[in-house]
Amino acid sequence: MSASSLLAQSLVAGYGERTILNDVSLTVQAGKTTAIVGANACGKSTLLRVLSRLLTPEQGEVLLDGNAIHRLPTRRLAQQLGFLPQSPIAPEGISVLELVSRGRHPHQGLFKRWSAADEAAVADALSATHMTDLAECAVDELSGGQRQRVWIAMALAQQTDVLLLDEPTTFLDINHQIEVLDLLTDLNQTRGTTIVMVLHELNLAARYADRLVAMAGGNVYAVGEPEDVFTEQMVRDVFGLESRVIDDPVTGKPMMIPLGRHGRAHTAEGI
Amino acid sequence: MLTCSQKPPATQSSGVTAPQLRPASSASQPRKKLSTRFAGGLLLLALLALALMLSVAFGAREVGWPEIVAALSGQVDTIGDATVASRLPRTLLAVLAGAALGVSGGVMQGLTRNPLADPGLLGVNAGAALAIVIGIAWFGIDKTTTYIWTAILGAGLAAVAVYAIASLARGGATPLRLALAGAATTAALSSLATAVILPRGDIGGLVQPWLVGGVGGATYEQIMPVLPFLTAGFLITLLAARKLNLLAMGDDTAAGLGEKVAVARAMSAVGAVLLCGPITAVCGPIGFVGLVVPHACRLLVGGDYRWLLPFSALAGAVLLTFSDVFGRLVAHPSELDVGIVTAFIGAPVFIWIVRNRKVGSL
Repeated sequence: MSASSLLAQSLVAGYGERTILNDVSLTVQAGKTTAIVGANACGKSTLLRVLSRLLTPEQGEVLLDGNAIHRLPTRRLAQQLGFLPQSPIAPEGISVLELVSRGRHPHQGLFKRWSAADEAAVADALSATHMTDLAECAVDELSGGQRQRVWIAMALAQQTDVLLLDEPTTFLDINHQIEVLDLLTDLNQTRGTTIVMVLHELNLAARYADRLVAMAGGNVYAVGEPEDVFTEQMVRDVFGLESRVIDDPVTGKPMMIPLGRHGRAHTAEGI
Repeated sequence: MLTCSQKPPATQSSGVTAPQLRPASSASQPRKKLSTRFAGGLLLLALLALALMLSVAFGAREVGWPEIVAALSGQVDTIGDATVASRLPRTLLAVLAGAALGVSGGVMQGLTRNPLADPGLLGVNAGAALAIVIGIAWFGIDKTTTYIWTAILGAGLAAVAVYAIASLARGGATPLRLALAGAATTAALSSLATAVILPRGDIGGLVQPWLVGGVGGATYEQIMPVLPFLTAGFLITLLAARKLNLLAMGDDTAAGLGEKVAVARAMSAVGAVLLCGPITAVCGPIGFVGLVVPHACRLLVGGDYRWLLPFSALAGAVLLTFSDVFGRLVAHPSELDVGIVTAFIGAPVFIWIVRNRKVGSL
């Protein structure tokens, strides 16, 4: 699978009268994992919605391999670009297999029946997410982490070069957060899928993303590798938080420790 | 299937310890419970056959086998033969109305993701009925085809109005809000219909059928003009079934999978209105069939609309035909309109859904 490039050019977008993105440009590097971080209401989800063509920008455009996504036929775009919203709805009683199979929708036509390719894609997605054994189970009966794996499996079955995810780890325990992020990294490395996700947790973003996009006030504050973007200055400007940024002892990536009002007394000067 | 109800431990990270190990080849086209569906389909067909027989055989006037046989073979010599012969179009209309209302309700539940949706509850049938009453009272319409178009117009307007009212509040059209807006609109439209009729003693008898729905006195002349609309409605809704499956996962997910959400909604709505509008034009407002039937069918075939809609058609026909027979027997020698019977069956189900299901989980 060849990696696709995604390019946002001077985006202005919002909801009704309220403009949220002010002239945002961004190049998403093909084949990499990009995490968008920022404080609440900084426009990161809005940016993701525009990138996934759920929201049409007032100005500017998003190019996928050179084509403006808001002018591509929706089905063709869905074959190349997948999107997983923050809280998708699992229809009552639906089985894992049925839900994952719906990821094949953009590859099926009105008269095109279920094909061997569809079958293989679904089996593949189930095995990549370790859900094969639970394929017949009802999604409602699974744990939160498993449910998120099912949704990712559905997005995998869609077999897109680019996958956008809005806070894929919200509502999950820390072990499931790691599990989901490990899974996404596997995908990125084995299939070359370009991944763009909004993440709340800064340290996890720095650890799992090849590139960070820090947003503040509807603009891109900084873009680049975590080592370059993730600084105490950035945390202060973007989140309004005083912190220490140190090297993660496990991965060597930057890691943030908030100071807070009560933490100061114990902060060793040497950090 | 036996292992799914045991929740695997939350710490399990890879599914390796899952109690159930199935070969990957079981991941074939999503066709689980095929045997259940098959058995359910057969059961419904058998019930429909029984309902048809009862509907022809029982009524205010008692008839014997010879008269039934004579009427079915087209011979109408005695009063008994004529009675049976008059029950044939009535039975046909009950089947068509039940099927149309069942599918229409299923589609409305899907497109609003609302388990309480039903053409009766959402005010759509009341809108159709009011439009006809107004048409008769003020514009003197008197042809079935005109009734049908008027009903479709009224149904469409009512559907849009209810959805708009429910969407006005912050947070949009939640299931309960939609049901409330529908109930309020139904009450308002029905009162309006009464207000239109009251000063018009001359049309009181004429409009009676559009105040309480029923299939009594149906003729083939009434039924024929409805058929093209129902055919179109069934075709459109069946084509929309896959789209409803996607809408069920939320608008964003549906859009991410390449579906035009607004188009999917509009197409489903048009199909639903084409089914319940014309039926209301001929039968008057019949409630609760569209509510009860899809829920019963969900238990049987699951939430896949490609299965749910055909089964709802079948089950709707069964329910309405039985209800009509029941209405004839329970008030013997008079009759109870089928719209009243379905309300008696439907109201408890409505309460059950509100109390026991996560409302808003469709």
